[in-house]
Amino acid sequence: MTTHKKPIQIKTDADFEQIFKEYYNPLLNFINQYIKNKETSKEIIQITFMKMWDKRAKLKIESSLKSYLYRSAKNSMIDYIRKHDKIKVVSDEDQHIINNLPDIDDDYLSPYIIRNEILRAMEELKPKNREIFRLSKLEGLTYEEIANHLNISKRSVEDNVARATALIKTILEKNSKIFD
Amino acid sequence: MKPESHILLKCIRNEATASELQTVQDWIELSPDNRKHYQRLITVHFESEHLGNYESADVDLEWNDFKSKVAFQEPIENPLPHRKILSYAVAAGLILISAFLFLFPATQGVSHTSGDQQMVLNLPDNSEVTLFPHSSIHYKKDFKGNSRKVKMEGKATFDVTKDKSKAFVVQSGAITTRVLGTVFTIDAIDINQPKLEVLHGTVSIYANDNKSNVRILKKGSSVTFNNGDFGEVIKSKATPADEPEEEEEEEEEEEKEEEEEKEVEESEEAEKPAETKNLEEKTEVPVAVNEEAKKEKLELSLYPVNRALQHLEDKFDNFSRCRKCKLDDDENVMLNINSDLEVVLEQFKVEYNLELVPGKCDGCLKLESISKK
Repeated sequence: MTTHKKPIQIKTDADFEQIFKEYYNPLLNFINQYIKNKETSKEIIQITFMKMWDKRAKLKIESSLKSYLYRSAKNSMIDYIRKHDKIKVVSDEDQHIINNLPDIDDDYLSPYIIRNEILRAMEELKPKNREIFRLSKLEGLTYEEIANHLNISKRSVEDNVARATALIKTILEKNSKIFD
Repeated sequence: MKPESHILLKCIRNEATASELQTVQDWIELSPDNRKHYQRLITVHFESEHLGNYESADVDLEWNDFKSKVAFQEPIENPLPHRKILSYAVAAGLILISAFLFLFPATQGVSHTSGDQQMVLNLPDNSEVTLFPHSSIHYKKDFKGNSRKVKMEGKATFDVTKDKSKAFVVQSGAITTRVLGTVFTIDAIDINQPKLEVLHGTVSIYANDNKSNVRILKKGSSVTFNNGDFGEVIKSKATPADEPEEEEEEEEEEEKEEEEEKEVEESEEAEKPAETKNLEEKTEVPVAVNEEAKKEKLELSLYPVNRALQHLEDKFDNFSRCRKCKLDDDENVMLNINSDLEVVLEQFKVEYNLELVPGKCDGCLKLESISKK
């Protein structure tokens, strides 16, 4: 694995805080798809960052941050399950999937990072636009249901969702980490 | 002309009419940028569909929670003068093994090489490797097979995840080290007198050219590998000082290495062998680095007792303490907070009486009482 990139180093506590806040929710969701318990998943993420904190001064990440965090979180999860073997943390099916998770794979975390960024980008939408997008995506309402609920036309709902999608795409494009 | 967003979205949602679809298709064909635009819209659309299940924790709250947990990693004073007895206790988690330069086979796998500074890596089994400066490690992805095989050169500390069904095997030149789960360091910097010290757990070590030439070492013993064979196994309690170098053997070994190095140069990236060679020629430099690294490992700092106990409870699932196990807030203790539980407890015992009893679960420890000596 030869990389010519400069390894990532955590120089200040502010750097660490930024990484923590940026990746916390994507990691939480990645872990929670197997653990299916938000509090336990949070504990695993805290452990993941705790380990990283302990060695932050000498840590040199030769791969990508995303890849590093994916693997650390995955390992913390495996550790956690092993430590708590008296209680069933995950189903046999999930355990099988976890056992077969690769060590280096950027694609496992990517969808969660994108979802996280979409949520952040939503903040930049106009309130009405954001509300219609939210009802459609987060609440899972159909266009008809939203139209009835807000007393607007179905076409207007369609337009709003389309506009929000296009705007979010533009906002995400400003973040170099999302699309490459 | 770019179709309206809602037409593009209709296509993505599979609700477009034939003519709308045709318009969009024609537009996509016009330029790679148009295609990229369309593909990104698809990504945003489909990922948005999953937002209903997306868990959003308040990251500011989580950060504060995290900060309070790690807060006392910042000691009151750091570092205080070392205390020899404590240093020995800290070293109890270490095994030192010296070894020779080895050859990297040019197989598929993962390799890492550290530069001027230490590097910490996680292996597929969650074992952790601290690569000292100018050291390399090489292993096959996923650790498939009956054992967890790793090859290394230079110096590295391994914190091995316990797995009784799969031994952790480190090949380093002329010797191979085999463990099931412990913490140890392989030091191949002093190539003339590789040494294995077992201060924690059990380790077996054998010569590569003769696998029956094996030594099994338990806690508190050490052995020197010298010119193709092991010396006497010595039982020792204190942390041994670095052995003086044996000049007379240097020549022979260096010849051997230069041979090996040539092959390395053929199979590895250009940078690495140059660095390695550099390291070996200037033996004094790596020894100094080595000392410094060891010192860092032994560094002790002052922590408030109650916070240190709280930290141990948070960090180690197998450790708990009684409700009354508290001291005055101005009681402090000298610790290396990042050490293993046993080591930290030993450090506690220097100044405090600890009463430890087995906990409710397997291998669990409960602190029943604590008092100042």
